[in-house]
Amino acid sequence: MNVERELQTIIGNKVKDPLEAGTKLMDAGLDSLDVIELAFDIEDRFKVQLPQIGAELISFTYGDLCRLVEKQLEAKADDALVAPAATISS
Amino acid sequence: MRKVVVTGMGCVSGLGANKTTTWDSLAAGKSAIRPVSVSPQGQRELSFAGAAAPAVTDALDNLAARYEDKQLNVDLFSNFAAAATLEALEDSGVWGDAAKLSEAAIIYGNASGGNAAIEAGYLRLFLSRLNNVHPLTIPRLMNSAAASHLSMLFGIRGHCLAIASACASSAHAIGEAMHFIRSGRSSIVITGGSDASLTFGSLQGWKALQAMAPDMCRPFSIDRKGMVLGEGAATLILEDEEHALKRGARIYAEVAGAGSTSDAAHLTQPNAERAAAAIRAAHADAQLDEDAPVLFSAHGTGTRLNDRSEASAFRLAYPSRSSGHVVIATKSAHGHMLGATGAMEFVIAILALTKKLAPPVLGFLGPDPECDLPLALEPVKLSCHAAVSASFAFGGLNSVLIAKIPNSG
Repeated sequence: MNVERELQTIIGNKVKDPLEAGTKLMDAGLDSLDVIELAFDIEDRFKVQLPQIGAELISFTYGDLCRLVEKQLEAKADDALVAPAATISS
Repeated sequence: MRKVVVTGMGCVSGLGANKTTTWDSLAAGKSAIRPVSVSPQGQRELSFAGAAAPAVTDALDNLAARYEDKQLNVDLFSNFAAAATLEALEDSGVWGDAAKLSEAAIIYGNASGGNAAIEAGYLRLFLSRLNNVHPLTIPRLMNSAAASHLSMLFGIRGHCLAIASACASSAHAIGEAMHFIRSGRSSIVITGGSDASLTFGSLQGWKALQAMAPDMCRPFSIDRKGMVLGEGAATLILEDEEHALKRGARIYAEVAGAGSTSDAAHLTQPNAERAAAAIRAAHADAQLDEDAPVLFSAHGTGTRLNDRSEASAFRLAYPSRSSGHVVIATKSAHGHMLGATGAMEFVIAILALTKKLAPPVLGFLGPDPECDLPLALEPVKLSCHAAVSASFAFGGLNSVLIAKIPNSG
C-alpha cells in the first residue's frame, strides 16, 4: 500500500492542492473538526488506531502524519505476527 | 401592524430543481411518484420496495457549482434547504447584499433531521459491528443543522432556529416568520422547510404505520391507499412590505394570516373540529371572509383517515356551498415532503394564484362520498385573490396559512 498516495486522496476531500511534507495541517486550512474527520477517515481506510486524539493532529505537518500512519501500520503488522502464536498457546 | 410579503421563493423536489420546472411539471399534470427499491449501503438482503418521489438528480447542481465540497459536508436535508434558499435569495434580489443578509433571520422547519446521518451511524455500529461512528454524526443529524447551514453559507447572522412540528413544521415556521416581521423584530426572514427521509429506516418506519400507498398518492379519491413519501425543500423570503417597497423588490403575495391549533387527542388520528378551528383562525387573522372564493391547498395525504377528517374540517370551516372555492392536493405530484411539505404547498399555492391556474389533483379514481370537496381534477383557471394552505400533522398539530395576491380584497 502506498501510504502517501492514499493519504493524499483522503486529505484531497479537504484540501485541493497536494501537500508538502513540511506543511502543517492547520496552515493547509484544516480546522479542528476537519482533523477529527481526517483521523476517522485514516482509521477507516488503514484499519489502524491513531494514538493521538484527532484534535492534536492539527499541529502535525503532513510529513509527521505520513510517518505516524506508517508507524501504526508497522505496529499492526507486528501484532499480526504475534497474534497466531498467542492463539495457539491459549 | 406591519404587512408581510413574499419577495423570493425557491424549491427542490421530485418535480424539479427550481420553481420554474416545478410549476411546469405541476401544470402538465406530471407526478414525481414512481416505484423505488431502497437498501442500506452494502446490505442488499434488506430492502424497502414501494413508491416514493425522490428529488430530481440535478436538485443540488446549482448549489454544488457555487460552493466547495467542504462547505456542503452536511446531511442531505441541509443541502436541500440550501439549494432552495439559494434560489429564493437570488429571486428576492437580496442575494449578494451582505449587509441585508447579515441582519436577516432564519426560521426553518424540518420533521426528521438528518436521517442519512443517523442511519450511517447505526449501520456501522449494529451491522458492521464497528465501535465508532463518523465524527460529524451529531452535527449532521441535529434538527437545527439545516438552519445553521443556511446561516453559515449565506452569512445570515440574526435570529436563527429550527421549528419541528412533524408534517406541519414548515407551515408553522412560515407562520412564526410572519409574526416575527409583524412584531418588528426583523425586516427579512428566510423561512420554509426541508426533509430527506427516503432512507431505508425512515421508509420502514412509515411502512410500519400502515399509512403508505403501494403505488400512488390519491388524495380524496375512492379506493385511496395512503401516502407516498417525497423529499426536498422549499424556501420563502418574507419581508416587511415597507422594506420591500423601499428597495423596489418584486412582491409575489402578502402572507396575510396564520392560524394554528392542537388536537390534544391522538398521535395519528386527526380531529376535524380542531383542524377547522385552525382554518377559521387563519381567516380571522387575515381578515378574510370564509365566503370569499379561495384556492384551498389541502393537506391531502391520501390516507383514509386524514382525507376524511380534512373534508369534514373543510365543510365545518366553509359551511356555505356557494363560495366557489377550488381545492388542490399536490402531494399527488411531489409526494409527502414531511417537514418541507407545508412550505412546498404554500409556494405552489402562491404560484397558482399568480399564474391564475390550479394544478390538478392526480391519481383520482372516483369520488368518495365522505370527501365531497370542490377538487380541481383538471387544471382550473382561477380568478380568486387568496390561497389557504392547510397542514395537519401527526400529533394533532394544525397550521393554516393564507396568502393574498396584490389588489385582493
